[in-house]
Amino acid sequence: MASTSSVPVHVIDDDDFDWEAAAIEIDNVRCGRADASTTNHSIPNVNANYFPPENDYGTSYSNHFKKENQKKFTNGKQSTLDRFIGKGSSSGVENVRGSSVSDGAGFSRNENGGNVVYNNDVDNNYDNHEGDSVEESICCVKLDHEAAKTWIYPVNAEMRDYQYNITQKALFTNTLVVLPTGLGKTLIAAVVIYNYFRWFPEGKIVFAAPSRPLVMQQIEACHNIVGIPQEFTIDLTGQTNPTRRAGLWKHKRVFFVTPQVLEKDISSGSCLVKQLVCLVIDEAHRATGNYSYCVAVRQLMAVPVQLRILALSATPGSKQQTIQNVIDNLQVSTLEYRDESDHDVAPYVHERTIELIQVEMGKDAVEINDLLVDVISPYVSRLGKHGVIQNRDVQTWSPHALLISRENYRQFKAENMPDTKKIEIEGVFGVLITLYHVRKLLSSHGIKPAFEMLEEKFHQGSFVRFVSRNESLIKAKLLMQQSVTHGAPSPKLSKMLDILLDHFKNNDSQSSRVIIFSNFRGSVREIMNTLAKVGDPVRATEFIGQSAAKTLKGQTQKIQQAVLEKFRSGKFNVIVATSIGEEGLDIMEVDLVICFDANISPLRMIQRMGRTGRKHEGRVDILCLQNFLACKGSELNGYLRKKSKNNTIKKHMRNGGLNSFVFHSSPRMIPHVIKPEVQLVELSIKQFIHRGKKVQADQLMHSPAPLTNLTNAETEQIAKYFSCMEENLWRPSLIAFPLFQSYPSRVHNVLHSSRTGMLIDAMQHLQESSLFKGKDIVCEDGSSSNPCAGEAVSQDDMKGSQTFSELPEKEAPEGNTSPMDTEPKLEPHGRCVKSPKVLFGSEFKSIEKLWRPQNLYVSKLLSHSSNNEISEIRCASTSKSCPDEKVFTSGLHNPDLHLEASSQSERIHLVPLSCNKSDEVDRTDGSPLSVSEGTHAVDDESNDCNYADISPRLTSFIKSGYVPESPINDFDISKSQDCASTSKLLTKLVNKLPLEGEYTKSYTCPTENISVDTVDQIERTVVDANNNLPQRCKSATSLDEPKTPMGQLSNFSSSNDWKLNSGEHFNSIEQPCKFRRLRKHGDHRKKLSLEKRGDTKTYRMFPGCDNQFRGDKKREKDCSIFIDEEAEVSPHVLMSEDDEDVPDTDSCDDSFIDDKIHPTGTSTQAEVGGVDMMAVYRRSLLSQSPLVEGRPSLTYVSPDSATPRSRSNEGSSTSRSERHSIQIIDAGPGTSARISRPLQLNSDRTCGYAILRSNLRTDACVESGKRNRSFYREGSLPAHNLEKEFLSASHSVERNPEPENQVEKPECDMFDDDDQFFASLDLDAMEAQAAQLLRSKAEQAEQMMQKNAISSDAPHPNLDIADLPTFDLGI
Amino acid sequence: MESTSNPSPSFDPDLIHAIYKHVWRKKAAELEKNNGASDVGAGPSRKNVIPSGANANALKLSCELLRQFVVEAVQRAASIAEAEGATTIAPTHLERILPQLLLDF
Repeated sequence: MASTSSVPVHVIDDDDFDWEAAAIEIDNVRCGRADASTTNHSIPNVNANYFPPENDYGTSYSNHFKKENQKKFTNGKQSTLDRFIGKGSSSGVENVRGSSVSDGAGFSRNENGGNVVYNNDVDNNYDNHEGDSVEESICCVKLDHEAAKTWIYPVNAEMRDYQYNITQKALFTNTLVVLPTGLGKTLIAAVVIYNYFRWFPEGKIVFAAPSRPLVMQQIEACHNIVGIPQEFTIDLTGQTNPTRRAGLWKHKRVFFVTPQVLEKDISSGSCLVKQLVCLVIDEAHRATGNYSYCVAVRQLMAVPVQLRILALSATPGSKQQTIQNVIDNLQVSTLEYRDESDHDVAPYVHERTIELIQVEMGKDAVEINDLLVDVISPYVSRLGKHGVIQNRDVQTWSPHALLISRENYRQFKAENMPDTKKIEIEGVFGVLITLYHVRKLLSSHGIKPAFEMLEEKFHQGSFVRFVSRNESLIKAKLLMQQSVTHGAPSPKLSKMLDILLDHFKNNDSQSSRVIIFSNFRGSVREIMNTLAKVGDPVRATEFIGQSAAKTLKGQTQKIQQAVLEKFRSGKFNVIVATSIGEEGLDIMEVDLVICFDANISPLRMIQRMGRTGRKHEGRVDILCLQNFLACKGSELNGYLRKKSKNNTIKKHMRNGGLNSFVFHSSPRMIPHVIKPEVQLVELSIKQFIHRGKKVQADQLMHSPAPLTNLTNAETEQIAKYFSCMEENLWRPSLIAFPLFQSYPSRVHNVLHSSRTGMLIDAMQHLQESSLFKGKDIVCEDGSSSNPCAGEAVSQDDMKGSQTFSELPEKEAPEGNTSPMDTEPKLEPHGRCVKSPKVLFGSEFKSIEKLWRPQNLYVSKLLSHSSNNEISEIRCASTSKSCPDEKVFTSGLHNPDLHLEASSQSERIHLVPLSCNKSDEVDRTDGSPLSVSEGTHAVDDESNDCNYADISPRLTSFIKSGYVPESPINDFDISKSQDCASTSKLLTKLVNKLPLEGEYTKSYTCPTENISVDTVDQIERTVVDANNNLPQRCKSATSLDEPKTPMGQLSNFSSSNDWKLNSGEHFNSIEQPCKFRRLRKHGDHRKKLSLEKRGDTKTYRMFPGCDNQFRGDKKREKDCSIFIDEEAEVSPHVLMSEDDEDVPDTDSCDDSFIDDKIHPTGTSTQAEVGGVDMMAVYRRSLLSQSPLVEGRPSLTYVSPDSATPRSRSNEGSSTSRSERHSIQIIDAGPGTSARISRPLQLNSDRTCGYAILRSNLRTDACVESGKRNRSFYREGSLPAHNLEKEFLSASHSVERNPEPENQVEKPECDMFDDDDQFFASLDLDAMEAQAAQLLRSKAEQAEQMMQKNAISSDAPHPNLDIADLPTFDLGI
Repeated sequence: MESTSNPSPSFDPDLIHAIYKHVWRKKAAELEKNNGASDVGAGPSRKNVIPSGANANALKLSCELLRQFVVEAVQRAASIAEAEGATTIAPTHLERILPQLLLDF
């Protein structure tokens, strides 16, 4: 044992470890263990407490882990070394569990020789020898290996070699640092703490200081040295209640505690001893006996826990033995001693003048002293006679010496004495001790304390019995009383005053600080009283302990803190302190210490002296006066004697005290493999914030700061606004700028929310209704206003964004419901156009959409980007189906449309929004007429190639038969729709437009033309419609149909520009449809079934297209998904529909025809009586709208879903709602239209429509038989157009009849029929178109097929779904 | 339009906190009044619903939100003003963008 314990420090780094010695040692320890368990336990109970089995297991595991960790980095030898040396306090878990748990003898402590050895070590060693090294533990706290590669030494302040060297040592061994006061022990502690703080991220570090003021001082000092973040540090003193401390122990990492708190918390278990890695003990000389330091350390060693102990003291002890005790108690391995004379310390020691001022006792005091001596001498002689004490000069006796003598007497001589003598001698001893004490007081503190003591003693019986009749004593007492009442100052006091005043004369009373030490509180009070009289430069306060004496109340620690604080800040410049002020107070400015009594221990004298001479910044050497006020005689002698004694102790501590003291092994804490290298770092340290102040600061931060930030006026303003909020909610005015609220405002970073979309929709709705109402009234009737409002949502959607508008347009044409859609849209638009639009839903929609976006968005730029994208998308989608259609449609319609569109678009662009409308109307009015004339020219201009190609084909088709015409019409419609969308897109990009136009051509030649025009879809559509109408009229053989449109056009134009436009458009669309149908009728009525199929297909296609468009616009991904889904669904649906359709068509031919006929009739009627028709339409729309809304949701589930996605992609929140509404509306109108149809059957013209349809159907049927799915797809695109046309036609018809008949009721009843009809019609139309396409263009068909296949697949599913749901609903 | 890209100064959290507190105080007072008026309606637990403090991060976030709001408002109003050819943002511009702006936040 001796070897390890005595030279642990050396062994650590010693590779030549003596293995034999180690083995022997192990054996010895093992032998001794048995003894230990029996012999040794200073605190068995405590030990028992500290060995709870669970904890032991816990440590064993954690140790385990640690060990493994360590093994990675250590070779076997080093780990072995660790076992022997590195773990003086390591855990012997096995031991605890096995043998010692019950009796608490888990460790044995060999107190002989001051060596503490834990059998845990032995066990571990033993185990290791057996090959089981698992139990070895280094530390249960995780080590940060990265951090452990270095240790940090702050160079914020001047770097001192001795501090650096001591720190280096202290990091790896338990060290007792003995440094003279004021040389920076705290820095060493702080650096060690900081490095352990770094190395062990989870470790807890404790800094113990003996008093709360010191704790507070050290926490700040440590912070200022190494800047450990304050969130990790906490000071724990008795002030903090234990439960709170328990929490803090868990959460904080560096604790500044008083030893009592540490002891209590360790024994209560709230201190997480397992995580302790470092314990710093300040003022370590106190670690004697059962002081809390010792108990705490003992408890920690018993756990056991491995930790670094760093003990700090300036005065470890006055005797070799006491120092050894400290070393033992604190498990110190190394003693680092420096004193002022050491070469590395000397430069930093400030000159400290020690002046011994001898003060002559006052006259009174001398007199009293003499009297006292007179009193004393007989007693001394009496004792001397008895041989109890040595005979010597009465003057030299001291109370302490008498006490010792009495002890001796009691021990050795009392037995031989008779009882009476014993009593006498005891009495004399008592009297003598008292008298000497009085005399001591008299000499060192003045008469007053002495008198007070004497007075006190006179009240005690025993003393009075002996001395009551002593004249000398009575005389002395009287003398003392006299001098006290006269207030004669003691010579020491007066001398002290002189010194003080002299000091403050030479030094600034603000910056200079003086501490006056006195041993007795009585004299402190006296000094205070004296100083109080002095006044000005001296601002004195007392600084005493907190124990309450009889006469003087103690100071609570709070007061002590306050005193120190004020002393630091300069509010007081003199402190009169008892011994409490001797240790550790680090007050830089103290440049004078007055020791009022010199006869104290050298320890305390050093500490007292240490209170000064600390300031080492700036003015390095301040003259320090150390005045010892000592009376001649006993006090002086005592001082000199103790001073010499102190010197001998210093000799013991030289050379680390290796020769004089026995040290203990200590853990290295860090694996040997890791050799931390020093890193000199300038730490950035935040300003220390006192805990108490922090709270105040927070309060300041929060409450007053805002108040100061706000002026009264501001607060009033805020109050005003907030009171407004509370009482009457402030609302932004929607009336102020209604136009602005009906369009999404430009956004910067924050996109519009869905709510904004809703608002915009609502505003548009409202505005339209109002605007349209006026227009409507002007134009025709106010009846439409209501429907408009209902439908406004859809319109709003359209208006909301160009992209939106495009989408809805597409949707409308695409689906069977497209006509329905168009109707609602038209209605919402509310403009004169609406009524006409109703007839040609798709066109109107497109027109409206175009108009609105244009009008609404004064700046076309906004939409350009989106439009372009959309246009591209559309182009792609359309391209697939386009070729076939192009051939058909391009011929007739394209040129006209192009021309018109271009002109219109230009106009629109030029003209303001409102102006655009009027212009467009005008244009449209003019266009229809002119369209027919200049169509060809336009074609040449805009789409020379496409149109030219298409036109001949179309012409050829036309020539060949009606079929071409019908497709053309269909195309026109679809084109108009497409054009609207495309035109929107195209408007901005002319270049792109041609491409789109081509694509659109494939779908619908007119659309292409329109797209080519690109300027305005609406205009184009109008133009197209007009063109189509005239063309159709021209081409068409049937006089009535062509005429009717013309008439309508004329009527519309006459009524209002808008009306005219719409009327024209509608007329044109209607006319073609009618023509087609009539033609078809004439040709093939039987083919209705085919047409139905085609229609359905086309419907499907349209939705798909819509979806695609939307998706493309918004997000390609969504589009693709939708398309895929649709594609998957579509084939099946198509198949099923086809099957169903065929029978339906067969069975329902008549009914269908009738229906169709009726609508046609209605349409014609509408044409004839334009104004009346408009009103009727509006009414019907109104009536329809509600119904539609209910239905659509069911029917167009899939489209809706697609639309929302696309809209969302677009970025406008409104998109979803808009689309939904649109779809719904579309569905609704469709249903209504269906319903209306049956009702309309009566009308004459309906027959014509029916005939037309039948014709188409027949054609389609023929074609359908030939067609494959691919064909269908191709056909489907044209079919869409057809469908639109049909729908529009039906709408027109419906509108007309609806007013007459109550739409709602019929609709409900008719739903099933309508749906079926619709489906059949659509299919037929689609088929017919497809057939036409096939016939006309075989070549293009192939290309188109592919494209169409894709596009058609996608749209089909939607159509199917829509249709099916409607059926279900109807049922 | 590009001004927001710069690390623009935000609101003083203290100010925001003061405003919050002001509102909370008012609300609390109002609540108490209401509670006094109708004790039955408001449960006792309701009384503590009004927060009394905000954590620093929450305040930061609030400041950022307000900043965004203001920036957006200014930018939108600026776009309106720009469209009108005005060089300064007038209250009317703000008035125009306000409804939608409020719904966007």
